[in-house]
Amino acid sequence: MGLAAALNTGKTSLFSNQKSIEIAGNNIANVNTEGYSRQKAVYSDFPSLEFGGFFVGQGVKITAITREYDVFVSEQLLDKSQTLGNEDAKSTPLAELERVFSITEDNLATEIDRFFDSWQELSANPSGQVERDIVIQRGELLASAFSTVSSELDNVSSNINETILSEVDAVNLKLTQIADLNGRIQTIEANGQSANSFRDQRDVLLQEVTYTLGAQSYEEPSGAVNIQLPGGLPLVQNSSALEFEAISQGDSLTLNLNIGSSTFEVTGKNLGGKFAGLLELRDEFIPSLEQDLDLTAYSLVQEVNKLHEAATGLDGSTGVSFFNNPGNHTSQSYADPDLDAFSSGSFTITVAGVENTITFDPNGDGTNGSLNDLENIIDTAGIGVDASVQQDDDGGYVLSLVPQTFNDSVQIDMSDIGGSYEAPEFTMADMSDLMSMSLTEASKVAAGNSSAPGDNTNALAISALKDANAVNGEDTFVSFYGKMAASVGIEAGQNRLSQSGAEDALTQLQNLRDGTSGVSLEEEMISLIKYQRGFEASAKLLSTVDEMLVSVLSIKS
Amino acid sequence: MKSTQSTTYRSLNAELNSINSNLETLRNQAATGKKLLRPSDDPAAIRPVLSARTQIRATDRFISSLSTAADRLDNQDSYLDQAENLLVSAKETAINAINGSMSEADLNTLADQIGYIKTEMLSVANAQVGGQYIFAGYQEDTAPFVEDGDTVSYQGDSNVKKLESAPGEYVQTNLDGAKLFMGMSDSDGDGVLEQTGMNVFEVLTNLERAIRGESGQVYNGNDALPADGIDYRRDASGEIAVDGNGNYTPIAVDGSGNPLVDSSGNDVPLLTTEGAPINLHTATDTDGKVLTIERYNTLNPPGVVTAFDGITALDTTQPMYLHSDGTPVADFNAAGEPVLTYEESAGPPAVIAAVSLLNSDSSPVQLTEIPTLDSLLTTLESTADQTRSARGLMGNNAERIDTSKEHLEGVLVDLEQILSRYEDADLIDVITEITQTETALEAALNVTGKVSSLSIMDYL
Repeated sequence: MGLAAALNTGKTSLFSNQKSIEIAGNNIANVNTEGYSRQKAVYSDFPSLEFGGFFVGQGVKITAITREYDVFVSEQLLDKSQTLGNEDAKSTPLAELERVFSITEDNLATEIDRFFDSWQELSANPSGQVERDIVIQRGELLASAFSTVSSELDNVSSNINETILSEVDAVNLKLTQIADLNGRIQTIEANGQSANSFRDQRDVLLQEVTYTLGAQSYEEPSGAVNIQLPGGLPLVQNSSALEFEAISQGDSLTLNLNIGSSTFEVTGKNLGGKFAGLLELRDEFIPSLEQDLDLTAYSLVQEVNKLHEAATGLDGSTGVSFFNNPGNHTSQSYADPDLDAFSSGSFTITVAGVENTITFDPNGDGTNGSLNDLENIIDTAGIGVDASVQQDDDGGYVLSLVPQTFNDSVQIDMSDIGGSYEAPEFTMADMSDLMSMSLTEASKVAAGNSSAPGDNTNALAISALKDANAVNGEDTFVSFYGKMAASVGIEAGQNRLSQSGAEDALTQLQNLRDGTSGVSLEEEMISLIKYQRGFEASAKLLSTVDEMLVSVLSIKS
Repeated sequence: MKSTQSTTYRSLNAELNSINSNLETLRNQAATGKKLLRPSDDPAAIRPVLSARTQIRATDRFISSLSTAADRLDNQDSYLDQAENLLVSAKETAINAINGSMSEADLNTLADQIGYIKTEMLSVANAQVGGQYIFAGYQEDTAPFVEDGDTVSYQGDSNVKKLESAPGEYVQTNLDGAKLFMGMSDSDGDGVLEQTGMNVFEVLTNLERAIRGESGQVYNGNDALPADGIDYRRDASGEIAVDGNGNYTPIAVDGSGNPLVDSSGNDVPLLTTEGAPINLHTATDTDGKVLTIERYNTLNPPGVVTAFDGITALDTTQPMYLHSDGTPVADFNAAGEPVLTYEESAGPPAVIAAVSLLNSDSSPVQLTEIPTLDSLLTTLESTADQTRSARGLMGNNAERIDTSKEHLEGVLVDLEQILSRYEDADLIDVITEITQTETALEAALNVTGKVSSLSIMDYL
């Protein structure tokens, strides 16, 4: 082996060290780049050649630049991202709901208390004009408090829709970018190179998409990542991506996914992450709160009107409604309208103060009857209400009663005909929103059971409603509000706990990831020194060989 | 595993964030003094807090109702005191009239005094508080006692006003005027008032007349028929007298069969509207019993409409007539009054029957006998007792109200303590925690500041 070969060895070492310094420089430059994985040169020596019975090395070469990467930690990161996305998404609407169902001095419960307190106040001076005006005013304030809560719930829903709508474009862009990166990575890696920075970029996007959609991903041998929704719908395959389409109609917003010629509606159940959290609140939690609120308003209006209509105003008027009566009375949902699930018996429907007792014995032999039988019997009884069986949003069947005369009060007691299905109990959708006063004249406020100015019997009876278990027969109006507020509180508290847990976990995982893939300045500095020294030594080698060559050449002269 | 600069900063950042958010919560608690600011702060506390607030509001109202009730009872008590005093001075006057050997002029002065006492009693009975009559039941905007000649009628109702003093507990805040002043209550639950006690106004009227020396006389008042019977006018020899037309004249008699006399000292003839004497016939009531005047009074107290013997009195002003043969009246005249078929030929019946007499306004004349002064003294005493016992009852009520109020004020304190336990922050705890957290924050900031001061760059 000659000196020229030694020169060559020095050259490879010089180049390799220089390259390593460049890599260290690049690592330092990207020390704060999100998702950047530290790169490292992989050295190997050139194959040795045999010279005079000895194997002598031929120098060094960089065979690859790899990134330091831990698949396990990356998978964990994706998993926690989707949990965090879910909890993050809920935190803002839940904070809003906590404000709506406030427990400070000014909330719906206080308004309910004040309303019944005004009746108690009236009982001390039943003919007082001021006390009567206060009762009417408190009624108006109560009605508007109910509609405020109801419309604020609607607001939270529509804010959720806005949030989804504003994110759909960004999500679609990210999906397209991932598909794009898939293509590039495949092209580069087909040539045996590693597409380090593209993979880093894709990892960041993947984490973001998982955060938003809870999408699941798996890598193919070709290097492409396929993404699908938790429900199994594909989003990205190789270099092609599907797009979400948000369709907003009035107050409602649906997410569609177009696969070929067919369109799939995506609901909270098909999704994870942020969107699932939002849709879960919008489609399950808020509607159940609305239902409870409507039931409270319905029960309050029914109970107050029942007593008020039976009593007498100062001007001798009776049968006057205090609040406007519900426009329809809808039962809970039943699975099968033809199933003979109601036991025969009798029930009462009081329409505008006239009590009708209806015997329910559809087969004439004391056997059970179905929801449709019930509807028929009420309809044919001709008592001033139209009955119908309707299908609700969830596919169940409800019994709906509508008074034939507008604003007629309808009091229904079907508690005796419960069989394998529970006896129908009634409420009205949107009651809280529609609640309003019917009474306007102070002299028509029915404080007593006679028009005598000192008669306070009915004022006492109405004020006693505050302690009656009037909602579902289990709760007072205020304690039912307390239940609603508590359910919001539990949900929000749990959310806050899970959110901070997920944040902590994510911080830990990111630290773990940085432990492998992160850039440590100390490490880079040390590599810098290391490769600088290597470079200097290579240079020394070259100059030494050069001196040796000069010595050799000087022999001749 | 290596620790990079980002790792250090990320961890410090997370730590600082969490300390800061803790600190914010604590500072909020210190500033508001409440630890229950939103439902998630303590979902289990919501129900007790709301229910405590409801109860506090209700208790406040109960206390205010009780104060109203106490005021009303105070007012009422002073009027009852006045009524009692009036009855005491009536009694003094009556004793004066019995004991002294008074001249007629003196007695008339004493009688006038009783007249004033009666007028004053009437104004007490019509007492108003805050524009509302307190002895009128629910009819608080109507003067309950109306004087018409010698008689007083009640225009209110017998409801008692009640206020809620605790959940489901009611306290009576007024007295039934009819029972208190007129001794009338619905004892048999038929919705019509019966005489069960003393009529203060009647007693005072009788007293006034008795002092004037009219005891034993009958006068026309809207009261009751004499309880004893009816006879026919007789001549000096005790035979039934025959008038110019050859008819007998029915007159009212007392229990001994002596004729009753009116204020002029004349006997009281029972006549038809035309002024003709009546040929009477036995009448039986709906139970088939012979209708004596006593029974008539029981069945038919003033103001009550009763049917008997097939005849329904249409209203209280509708006089009641009987045929001589007891069949119902068939005809009515143009004024709507029943016309009596008088059969002269039949002669007087063996048994004397009941009948109503007509006033000038065609209302039934009912006669009453003025008791003696002696018997009135006893009556007066029991009348005063009636007032006293009512006053005692209300006094007990007032005492109960005081106790209830004290109790409720105690309850209010308890409720506020419960509420406070759930929603108020313990400031000492909170401030201690703030200090701790601030120390932690200072340490974290300190460390964060020093992270970059130690760098490999300084050693190269």
